[in-house]
Amino acid sequence: MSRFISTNILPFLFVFFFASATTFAQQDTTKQVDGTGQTDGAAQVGAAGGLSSDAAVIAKGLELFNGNCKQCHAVNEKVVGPALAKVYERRQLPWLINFIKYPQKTIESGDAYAAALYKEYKQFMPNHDFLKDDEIVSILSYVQEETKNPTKATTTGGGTTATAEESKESSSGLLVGIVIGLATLLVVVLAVLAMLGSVLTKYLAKEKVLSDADKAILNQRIEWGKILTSRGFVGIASFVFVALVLKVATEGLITIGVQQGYAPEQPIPFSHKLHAGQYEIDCKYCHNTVEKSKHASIPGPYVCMNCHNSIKTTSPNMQKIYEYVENDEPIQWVRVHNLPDLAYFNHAQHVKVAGLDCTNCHGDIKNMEVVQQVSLLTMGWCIDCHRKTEVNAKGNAYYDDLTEMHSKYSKQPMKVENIGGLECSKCHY
Amino acid sequence: MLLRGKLTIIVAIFACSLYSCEPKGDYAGVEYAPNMYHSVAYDPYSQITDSTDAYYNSTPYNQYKGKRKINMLLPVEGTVPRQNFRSVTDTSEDVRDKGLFFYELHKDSIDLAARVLKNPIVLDSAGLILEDGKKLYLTYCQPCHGEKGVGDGKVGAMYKGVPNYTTGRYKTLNEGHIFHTITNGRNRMWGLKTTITPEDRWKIVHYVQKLQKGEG
Repeated sequence: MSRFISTNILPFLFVFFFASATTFAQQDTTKQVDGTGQTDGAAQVGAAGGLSSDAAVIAKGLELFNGNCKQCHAVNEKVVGPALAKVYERRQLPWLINFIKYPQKTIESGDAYAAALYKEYKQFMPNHDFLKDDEIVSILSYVQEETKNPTKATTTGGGTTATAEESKESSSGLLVGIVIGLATLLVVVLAVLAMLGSVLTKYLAKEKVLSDADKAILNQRIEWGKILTSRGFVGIASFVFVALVLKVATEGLITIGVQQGYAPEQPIPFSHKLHAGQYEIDCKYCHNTVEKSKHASIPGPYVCMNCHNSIKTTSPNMQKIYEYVENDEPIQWVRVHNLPDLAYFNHAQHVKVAGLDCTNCHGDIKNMEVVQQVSLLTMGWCIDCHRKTEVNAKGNAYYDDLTEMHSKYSKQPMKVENIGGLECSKCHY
Repeated sequence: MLLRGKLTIIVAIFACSLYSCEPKGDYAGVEYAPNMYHSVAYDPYSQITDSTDAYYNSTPYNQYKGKRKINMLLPVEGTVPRQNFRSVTDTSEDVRDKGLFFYELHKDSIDLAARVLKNPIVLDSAGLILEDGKKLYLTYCQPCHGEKGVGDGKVGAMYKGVPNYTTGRYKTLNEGHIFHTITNGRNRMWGLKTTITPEDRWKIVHYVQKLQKGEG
């Protein structure tokens, strides 16, 4: 009777739990499932007896698990599919083998437990009929081992960058230390010299018989007023002052129209350090038109959603993206690199044809929390590169004739300036 | 002397005021001849919607779904992106309509796609197509699927549920299936048809098929 009740009530329990709590916490499900297993009684339903604790079998199971199951299942955590901990206590071995091989068939056959699983996870697990029975047993043996002795979760990323930063900090700390040390040494030397001077003048004062020269030294007074108004001092001081003013003025004038260092705050604090640095997502994944267009596109929310449909969906910054989508409005990112309208620049030409890396102009984006303009983006800066850089003509038939003509007249490699890279009308028209 | 002193002071004040021209944080710095800096014509990513701004470049007459002042507009209804003309399924002459037809395949018609779609891009002997495919794969797929397609990408570890191409059922999936998956997504994966052109998708298919055989 108790068996009858449990098998009939189980699916309803499942459905009830699912309906009442759509935002299942991971631990909650595991507990829930554990509980149902216990009501059935481990001895009656469990498959634990058929499993092996042999290390070789478990190792084989781990390999198979990593190759076939890990994408959707974890042992102690709900991922895409249910957490597998104690699954061998919940169902019997033949049922498990059958389900793993033909999940959709089992669900559609009307099996209550399987149907409840489908209701909760809303997708069919693909057939694994290529696995042999003993292979499934080894996978389950691994699951049993992992349930009993869970291995610690491996930490990802972060660590290496932190140590790099620390070493950077410590090296700059060393520099400051050296400077402070030198400064104290200087102060000590000055103090010693001053003390020596005062001791010597006191000694002179005690002497009864003094020469004229010694008297002169004893009566010496520093006349600050005279020094300050002396021609030499005024000359040097005004020279230093004018030089400083000129330096500040020229530096200030040079920055006019140059936005190097501009790092505006964005409507959504997107971190390039996290996405491009820690997760190593290629720049082109988001800026996907960079090889096809004049512009490296700023991605729309659909690109964010490729990953963020599952990752960090509840973060407040994601809510902002949802709002933009709901209101059907573009996210108004602040443009960082503002090349003046009077100059033409084409991303495709530089990235696709020349094969330049983004970092050449945009700097170490992978370590920028907030993107800033690191290059000057002045004409001198462009021309400097066009003078130095060789044309990437390899495998590009467009440059064949040009290379041939260039090699006729020059033994130097063909630089960008040789094919008109300095002509005014190339960029200004 | 007095004149020189005054001059110095004026220069000093000028220099100090210049010091604040430097761009920093939210401040973009001072522009010289700004009317040559800002595009009069529409330019991507430079729309200024504030009508009090000196370089306001939005036309109040443009409308997009009832909202004004948006320079971005949807293409005319019925417009087909040029890129789709190159996504053909065979090399015969009248491929244009067929090529377009397959873009009408519904998201759920993956079995149909697996049956009828054939890769129009033929592999060359020099391996250039595969090289392109590899580059594209490393950009668009590697973050989740990993370098060798075993599902060990760094983003995949966060995203969860990334399959291993080289084992089991995934090994046997054909080119039409792979193409349809890249286009429309499958299970947890979302489609990338807005980002990758059909031609590039077919190149990726070639490379993925290589990975399926474990020849990464």
